[in-house]
Amino acid sequence: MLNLLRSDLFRLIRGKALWVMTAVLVACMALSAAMLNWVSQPEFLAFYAQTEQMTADEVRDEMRFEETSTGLVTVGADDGAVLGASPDGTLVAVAGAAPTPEDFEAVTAEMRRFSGVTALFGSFMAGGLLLVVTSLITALFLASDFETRFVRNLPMGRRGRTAYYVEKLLLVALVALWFLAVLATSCAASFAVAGFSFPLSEGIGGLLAWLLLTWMAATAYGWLTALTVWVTRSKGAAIAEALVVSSTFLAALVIQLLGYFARVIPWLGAVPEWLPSSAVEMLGRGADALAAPGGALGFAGVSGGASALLVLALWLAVCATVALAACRRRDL
Amino acid sequence: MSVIEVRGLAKEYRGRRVVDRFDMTVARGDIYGFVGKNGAGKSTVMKMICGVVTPTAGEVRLFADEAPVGEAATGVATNDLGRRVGALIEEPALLPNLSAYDNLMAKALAIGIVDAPERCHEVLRLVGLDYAERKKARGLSLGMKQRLGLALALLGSPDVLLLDEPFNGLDPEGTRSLRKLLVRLNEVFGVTMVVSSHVLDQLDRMATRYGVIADGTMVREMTAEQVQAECGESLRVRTTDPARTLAWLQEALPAATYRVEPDQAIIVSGDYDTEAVAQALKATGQVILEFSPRRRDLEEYFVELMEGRHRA
Repeated sequence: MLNLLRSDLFRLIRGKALWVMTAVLVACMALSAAMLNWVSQPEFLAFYAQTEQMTADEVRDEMRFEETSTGLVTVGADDGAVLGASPDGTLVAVAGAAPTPEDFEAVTAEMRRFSGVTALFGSFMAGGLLLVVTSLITALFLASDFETRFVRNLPMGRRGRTAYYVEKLLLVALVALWFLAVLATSCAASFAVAGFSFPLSEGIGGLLAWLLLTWMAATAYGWLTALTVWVTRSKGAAIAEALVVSSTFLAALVIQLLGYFARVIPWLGAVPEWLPSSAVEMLGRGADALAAPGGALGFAGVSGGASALLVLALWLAVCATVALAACRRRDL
Repeated sequence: MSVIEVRGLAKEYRGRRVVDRFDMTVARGDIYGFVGKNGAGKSTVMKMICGVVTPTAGEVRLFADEAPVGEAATGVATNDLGRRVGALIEEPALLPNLSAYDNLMAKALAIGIVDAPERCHEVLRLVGLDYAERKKARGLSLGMKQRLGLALALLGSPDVLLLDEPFNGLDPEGTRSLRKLLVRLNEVFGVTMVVSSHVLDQLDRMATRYGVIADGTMVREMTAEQVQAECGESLRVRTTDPARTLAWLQEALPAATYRVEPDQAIIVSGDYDTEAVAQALKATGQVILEFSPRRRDLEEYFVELMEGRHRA
């Protein structure tokens, strides 16, 4: 099995797909940091307010930022004037005057501060970027074994097939780990260079716990894609699954449907908490969401992190069982 | 001693048996010519031997003459199978976006070859592709791809080679050089081979044994000498009482080889004298319906064998 892993890592490294995806991920991080850097500049905020000729109420509505997503304070208004806000949230009146960049410096400062490292990372986790990249590479690489029939160059008995599938599951986990490392490193570097601050408020333990659960989530979605390859033997089907499922698009639809049916069958309302997407959504909110009760067992006072760990471990176990019990019987 | 023993092998796809009650024995050191029509089941049998396809029934034993280790279905430890058995079945299985050298390295690492880079260079030289080692597999010609496929099969210095139509896509010079290479591997290194091919002329020049498959079942296995004997000069005899005629001839001329065709004609071949056969037939007192000398070529011989099951 280790020989097979060495061979697959060689193929990945010598191929193009891994490096293209890595470059895409790094570029996304750099682009995101650059864009957020630009839109958080006081000049841009003032320009936006002036261009829109906004009243104070409109400024309040347009530029209100939730504390939980970006850590920004709310911009308030008084007597129709456009205002800026100091860091403690009190208003600084600029009666009758058009907003200037100085009015928004405090807002800028808040926009450029994340509550923690995982709050920064989590904003990209929630969008599914890590999951999609992991699943796409999984689809392309695993499908190539059957598309090219390269697997026939490795005569193997029945035990060999078990080793084959175990090795592939391990490979997907390593790919997920690679992309998680790339995402974390490039995200931190890009946003640090752009002048954003993200203190380690969750502590090393919180950060490691978040990273572990994120790795498990990416691996779980990767294994789902692997199962799609092995069941369908189709690269197209696996790519479609990677884009639809790993982007959490399908999960959003399913959750909505379950919400409707839960009015008639109440227990269906609890199902979404047992989907891997619920763990992803929690991880998107950063390490803070892991400490508080929540998730599948939140009703019992279990922390969100423990709930996420249980749900992801369950999905990993199901994928591994299906791969080794059912897929192993099929001819390569 | 047999290197490959196949007993009662069967494979079913969607209720249809493409291989059924198939038996085969390949001795160590054989170059086994595996002959059959398109769709007869040759590739399926070879895939089952190397473990790519699971049989529906029956048993495959590899290296049965050695102390069996590992699984019951094969006589070799699973982790050795990749090295001791080399296979080129149907078209070469190449990774198109990697170079020829990288394709070999991928397999070399997978089967745990020590000094993988040196071995890859060596095998590329062996098949005459050392000049193209950096070329992407998708850019190779058909013949070059075939040679790269063979290189993949030879990578682990296998004891057994399973080659399905290895001469496909090769020009005459390439065919000859491949044949010589296979013969050299067999004679110098003792590699046992199962070669399926429609190019009977090439098989004739190297095979030591033959197996003929039709409709998924082994029709006949024989040595190259037997094939030569039956393909050479022969007499076709038909009488009114074939059974009695056969018994009489076997007693009168025991050195000859006899075979009964589906139409009850007796084929006399091997060590015989035409006049002696005629005299023996005359002594039986039977009515002779046919007495004709024949000479068959390999192609005619095998086609008759392959189609013989239909008539039966």
